[in-house]
Amino acid sequence: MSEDAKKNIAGALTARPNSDDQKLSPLPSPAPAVPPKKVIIKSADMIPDMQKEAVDIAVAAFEKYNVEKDVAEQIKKEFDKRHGPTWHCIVGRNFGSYVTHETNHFVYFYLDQKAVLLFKSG
Amino acid sequence: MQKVSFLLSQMLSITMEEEQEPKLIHGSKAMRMHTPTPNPNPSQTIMRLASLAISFNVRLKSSHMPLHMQEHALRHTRSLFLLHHPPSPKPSNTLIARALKKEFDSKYGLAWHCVIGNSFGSFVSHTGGGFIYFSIDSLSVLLFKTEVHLVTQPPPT
Repeated sequence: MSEDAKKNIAGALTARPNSDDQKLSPLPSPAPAVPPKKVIIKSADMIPDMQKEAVDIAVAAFEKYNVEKDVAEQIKKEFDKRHGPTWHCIVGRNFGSYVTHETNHFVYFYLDQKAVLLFKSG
Repeated sequence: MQKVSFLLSQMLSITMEEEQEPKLIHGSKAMRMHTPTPNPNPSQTIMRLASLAISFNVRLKSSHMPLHMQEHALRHTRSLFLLHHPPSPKPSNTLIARALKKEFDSKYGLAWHCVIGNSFGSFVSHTGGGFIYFSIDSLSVLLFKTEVHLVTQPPPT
């Protein structure tokens, strides 16, 4: 079981888990199809558009790569490109972490069984 | 309320995965070693570090860090494990990551980041001399530093 990632916020901001952001998979249809991944935003200090972008990039990365470090690399590089350096990404089933991040640039979410931690520091 | 943000200067990139050797992305880089006091006998320090690793059941996988800081990381992590083990059968990775990060923040300046677990991949950038990746017992520990400068203006979003 992955533990929640905690963060040291610069300033007085507090992060609230967005349980409302949970998206449920649709009911399985008779035709064989790949069910969409279950997404749970566990913790975020990030504007909603950027959060969705992170999830979309992560979904694409998981489809493309099998190795966790390749997924992390894809996500980090994409965010470095789109939102400027420097981002850091951790992907895995079981890890605890504690990081310092730039204000409004932190998200921690689950894609099925994998946790994704993405934050900017620098 | 004024928000405080950080700007980064001078970064190195490195990709990590558990049980796999790291690959440096940048072919050439200047390693800035900030050892407070010059080390008169580096081979002796390396020997001590190696013996520490054995006694602590630690495997150093990769590091770009002055030797004394490596020793500090290994010692402190082992002491944290001993501290957390007795009350609960399983240590909280998050608590240990927090304690280790804060120790390094206070001793070697902001900003350090720590990830501990037995199943994760990562891709991070770090400053020269601020990176260590090792395993202790069955867990892997990633500790790295990003060099930051304080700015007074709010971040562009």
